[in-house]
Amino acid sequence: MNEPLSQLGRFAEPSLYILVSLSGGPRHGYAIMTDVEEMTGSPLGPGTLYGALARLERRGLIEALEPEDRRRPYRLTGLGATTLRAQLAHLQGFLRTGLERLGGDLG
Amino acid sequence: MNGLLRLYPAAWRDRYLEEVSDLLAERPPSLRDRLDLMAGAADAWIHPQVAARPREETESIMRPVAAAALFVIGGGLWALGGVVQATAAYGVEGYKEPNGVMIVIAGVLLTALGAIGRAWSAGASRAFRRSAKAMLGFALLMLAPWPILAIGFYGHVFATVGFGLVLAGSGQLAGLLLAIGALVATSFNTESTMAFAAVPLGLAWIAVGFARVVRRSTSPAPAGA
Repeated sequence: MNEPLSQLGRFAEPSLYILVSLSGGPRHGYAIMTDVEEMTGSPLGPGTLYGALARLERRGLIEALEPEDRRRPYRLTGLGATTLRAQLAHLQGFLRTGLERLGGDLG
Repeated sequence: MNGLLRLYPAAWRDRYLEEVSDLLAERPPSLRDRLDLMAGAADAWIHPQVAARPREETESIMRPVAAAALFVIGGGLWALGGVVQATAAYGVEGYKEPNGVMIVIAGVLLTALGAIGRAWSAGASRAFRRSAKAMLGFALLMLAPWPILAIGFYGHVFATVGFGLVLAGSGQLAGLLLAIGALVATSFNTESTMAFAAVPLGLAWIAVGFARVVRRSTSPAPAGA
């Protein structure tokens, strides 16, 4: 079930942030939230965070680990890593095109 | 629990409540977070991502002791109603006072509710549920005037036979008494001493109720309890 993140609608962007956050190792909800805030500069609301986590978990892109106290860490699955890599490669192409065009315009 | 988390579906709360509560304890929600949680709750209802666990694998709709109490009280009313009706005086129009019938109907309703509680509990079979639903459905018909009342009575009694047989099949021999008592109750006649026919069924319900309580109190405690 290798669905592109764009099929997640308004949860696509938060899901990408979460996958990037988990690519650095397992994290629980609060740690993901603060990590995403540091990366993007904008906070991820708890409703959005868990809406995205539920979608990612259901699609097998992340998996929940055994709870530590009341916190449950999540980690990227193999499918999640593949999906993230494909998504970032796509963004990289998009970024390169945009920068080239800007360079062309400016140059 | 944060009040806003109550807005989420039960299946979602089963899965995420603890960790989200922990997150909110660590980072008290701002107004924006609260609005985000409300939008998240709406999303969880509209696009559920967490499958609801079947009820039979989770909790019963009624505590077993409550179902047993309904069987005992309802059974008592069945028996009492039968005795009251059998010994009732004839009125001026030649018919007996229907007080005993009213008591029997109360017993029918209580035992049917107990059957629903018993059938919607962990591990109950589909046959249990079907018979309990039929018992309650026919019991409700007994609130209508004659002849619908009679249809309700016989339907309920035959559904009780089925319920008793399913109960017996699951290892509770009191269910056999129930099935026999229900068959005897088909002879129930409000205008003669055959109103006593309600008594065996009432006693059988009491037996079923007590058997349930005794069985629970003598079963070993679960490991780690």
